[in-house]
Amino acid sequence: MKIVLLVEGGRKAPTALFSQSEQWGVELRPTPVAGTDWKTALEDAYAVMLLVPTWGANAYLSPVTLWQQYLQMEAPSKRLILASFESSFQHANHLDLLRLTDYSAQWWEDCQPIDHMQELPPVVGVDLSEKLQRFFAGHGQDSIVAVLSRIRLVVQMASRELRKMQTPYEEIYSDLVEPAELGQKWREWRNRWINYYPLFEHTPIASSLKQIAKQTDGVEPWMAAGGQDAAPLHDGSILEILNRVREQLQQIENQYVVQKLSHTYR
Amino acid sequence: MSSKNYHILIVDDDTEFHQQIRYAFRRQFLFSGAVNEEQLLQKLGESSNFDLLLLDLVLDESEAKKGLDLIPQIVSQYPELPVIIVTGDRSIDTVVTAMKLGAKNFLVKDDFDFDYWEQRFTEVVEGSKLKQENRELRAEVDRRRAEENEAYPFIGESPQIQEIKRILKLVSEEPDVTVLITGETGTGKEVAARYLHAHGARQKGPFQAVNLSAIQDTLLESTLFGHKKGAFTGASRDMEGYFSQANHGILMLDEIGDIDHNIQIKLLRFLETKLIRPVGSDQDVLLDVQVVTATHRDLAGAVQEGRFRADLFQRLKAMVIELPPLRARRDDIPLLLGHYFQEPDLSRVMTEEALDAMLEYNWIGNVRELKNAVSYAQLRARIQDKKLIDERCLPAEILNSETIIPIPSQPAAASGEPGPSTSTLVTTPKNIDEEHALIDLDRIEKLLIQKNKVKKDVAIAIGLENTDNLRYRIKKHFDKHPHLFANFPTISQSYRRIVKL
Amino acid sequence: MIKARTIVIIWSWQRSGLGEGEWKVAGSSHLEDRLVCLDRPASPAAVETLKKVLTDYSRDEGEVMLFLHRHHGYFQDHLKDFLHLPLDDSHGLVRCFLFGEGADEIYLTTNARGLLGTSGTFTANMMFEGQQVGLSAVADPERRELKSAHFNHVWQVYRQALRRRIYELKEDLLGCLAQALPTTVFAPGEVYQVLNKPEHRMLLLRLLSFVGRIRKRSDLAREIRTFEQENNRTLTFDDCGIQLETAHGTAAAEQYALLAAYVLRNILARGGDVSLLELREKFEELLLQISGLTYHS
Repeated sequence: MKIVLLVEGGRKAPTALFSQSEQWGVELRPTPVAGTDWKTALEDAYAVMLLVPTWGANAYLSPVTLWQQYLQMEAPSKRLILASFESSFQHANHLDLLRLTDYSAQWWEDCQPIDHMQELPPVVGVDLSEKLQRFFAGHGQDSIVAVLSRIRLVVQMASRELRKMQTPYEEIYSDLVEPAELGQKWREWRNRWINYYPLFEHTPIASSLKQIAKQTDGVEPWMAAGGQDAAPLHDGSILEILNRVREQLQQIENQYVVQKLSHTYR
Repeated sequence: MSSKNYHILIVDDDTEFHQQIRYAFRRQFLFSGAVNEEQLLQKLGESSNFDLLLLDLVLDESEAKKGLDLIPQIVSQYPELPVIIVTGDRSIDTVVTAMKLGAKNFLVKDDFDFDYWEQRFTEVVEGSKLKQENRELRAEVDRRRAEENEAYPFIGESPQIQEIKRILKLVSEEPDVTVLITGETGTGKEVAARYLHAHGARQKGPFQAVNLSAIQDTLLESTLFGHKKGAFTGASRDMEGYFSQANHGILMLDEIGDIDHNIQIKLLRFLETKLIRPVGSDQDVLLDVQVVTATHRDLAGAVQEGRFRADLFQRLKAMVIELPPLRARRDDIPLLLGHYFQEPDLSRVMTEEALDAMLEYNWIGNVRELKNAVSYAQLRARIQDKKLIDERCLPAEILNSETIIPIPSQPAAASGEPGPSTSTLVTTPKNIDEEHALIDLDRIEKLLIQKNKVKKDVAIAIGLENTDNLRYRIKKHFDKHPHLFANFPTISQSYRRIVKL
Repeated sequence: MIKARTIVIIWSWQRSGLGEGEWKVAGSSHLEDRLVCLDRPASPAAVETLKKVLTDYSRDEGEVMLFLHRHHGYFQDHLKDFLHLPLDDSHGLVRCFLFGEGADEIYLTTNARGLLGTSGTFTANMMFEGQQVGLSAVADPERRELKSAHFNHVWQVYRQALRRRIYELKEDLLGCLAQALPTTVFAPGEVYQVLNKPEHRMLLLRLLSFVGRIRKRSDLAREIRTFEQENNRTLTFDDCGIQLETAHGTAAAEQYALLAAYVLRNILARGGDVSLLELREKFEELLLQISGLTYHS
């Protein structure tokens, strides 16, 4: 039996797809991707099947490019199969859900592995690859990283003043932290995060984003209070969390956002 | 506050970022700020004292990278002001474009790191200052060089001089050819060499001139090729020689005929290999120097007499330029007088009689003697409170001049003119070298008498810097032509430690 | 030439809000972008005023979007008035939309890059995971400038609104009916039976709205509004045929008529079998006639 990980993407795959697959010698395994277990499961899988477009944040979404990038990097010999209701989607790896009986076991054999796959036609839906680029774009209303970077800048400056220069925190707070309105900035970050987070629920970066969300919970009280408490700056915990979050975001950016400078570029 | 106290102009539409940067680096730098293009240009117009510009690329809500358009404008209008891009955008295209347009570095706000940013600011400012200083030094060198060239104008419209200028210009297009300039003392050999330098491929490089006859033999090698610390007693540090100082430029070796065999060998080696070896060093140094040599001596004769290496002579005579004595181009005398008096209309500075006397004088010391005569006459006129220089202001030898000395390059027989004949000159010279020595000694003898044996005045009258040079000159003559000194009793008496007859 | 873009919003600007007037768009690449705030409850005089406004702003090929607040008394018949304005070729496209109940993309509370906040303003506060989040579409209140990202987003969303809504209906309908696979042909009345199940109620209402079978102020209209509010989605199709004809031409209107007839006859009545392949084909033919992207990123 070929094991195929099925990412239903906020939709419900037709039950007939499962029974039909068994006849083709394929075991379809519905796979939630918010955790990390699927990455281990992928090792034994023949393919990843996406039900496209996926549904999230009140819109149909196209996570295809992100999946393609992920498999290209991590498992280039696996197949990426797209199942949809589109009749005009012409590709060896596309399965038309309304014509299940037209397929055979041989069709699965003929699916192209990712490193030899012909270019995929565009899938209808919000292009999540583009969304991710905006997520990382350095300036403007869309960028989530821009806001975090502003917060981190202030925290880094304040930490250095406090720990290295031993400037009294009252002075740092009144001259740097308070005017920076960290509480407001943090709300801005949360706000933008809400816009993005649900979009990537069915993509390979879902687990990383979930981890980031968990970590930011740790700085929430300090930020909400506008950074009045010196202690978390003194023990470095706030900066440590922000640095970790930044690192994880950098990893995502390096993997998925092309044509960008590496963060080590000086 | 940093001792450097650099003044940084931040240009960013985000005023909060200004405030944060000011706060973080308040101990290190001074800051001014602008939030848009208009303010930036205003600030730059008001003060030119900024050491660094931190420029954000996005300067308004539009998200257009207006900062990129500003870089070329800043770079062209304020070339000394280095620009660092500080932005949130890390796209490669943007970075490459900004750097191509002239930004010195690129910092991403997301990557803020105090130490790293401080280091970059300082590095860029100091790098730029160094370049600026280099530019200023270069400009100063060029300015001084231009001044020097002005101080050594190659004056003359006579056919001989015009032809020499034409040849020098042709030669100047060959930056590696070795040039030998010959001519009597004071004919302007250094002026000709400078003319070559000013018009040639090496005009941006240095010009070094050294009178080899004025340097003691024992010091000549280290003076020319440099020495390492401890190479000899008194060599307390490494020192560059004239060759190294002239790298990428021209080195003029005047009085080449006076150097000893050891130096001749080293000079030949350089001409063949472009290598020198400083005294006390075990390392050769490769240099790019065009050598121009000059002499008033007959090098061919010196080769025949075994005093000058034939192979070196062959090398040196690759391109020979012979400068005529002033008496062979009397048409140029009014021009030269006009130049040194700084008045082309000579009737406004001197009487007709005085001019005639100068036109008729033989000018044994050539242009240099003429220049000294002008200085002397001007001084005398001031002392005598005369508006115009008359004959009484001229040096005595001009007034007492009776004979016309033949042009050496033209055989006396062929020209039909009498040979050298002065009141004291009785010896018939064997060769041109001896003839020059005779003329020179005769002049010094006369001047010693005129100047009451005050050596300093004699040295000035013949255009030497000091009495050491005069003494050295006499010693050189005595070493080579001791038999001539019987004719010059005043010299022999005044320099009896040298002249041991 | 870049065409001017104007959004006209009839809303409660006067009561406690910013008042009537024109707002510019900060840093927009379309220099002539503007948003016009009007607070005119439905009346013959107000309709005449709006017709004049639409005519003026659509001059020189300017594009206009008119948003009519339902609570101001506007309904689908008004859309016909405005969509059938006799404009010549020198005028740009006019699009009209009804909105209300805070469940449209134009609201900041529905869409963080929307425009309308609370009480006649461009700002709103909303709760997220227990946190209050402030939202604003204003770039510069002094200069009366809005953020271009918000203006552009709303423009894009509504420009593609119809295509997107039809596409989503198609996907949801096929997704629902595909649960019966491998059956692809349903006997008369079978599809209706599926859609009439409580879990598919919203889908059925959307289909009814699509084919113009929900009358204003009816129970069905109220029911679909409730779904819109609960889901933060616009589900209603306001006079789909007319809008398609105005914005995308007669071919689109004809394809719509064919599809609507098929749905009315075979799904909502027992006129004949329903073939999923045929249903899909009809949706795809219609979408082909509607230019532009279904989504923008």
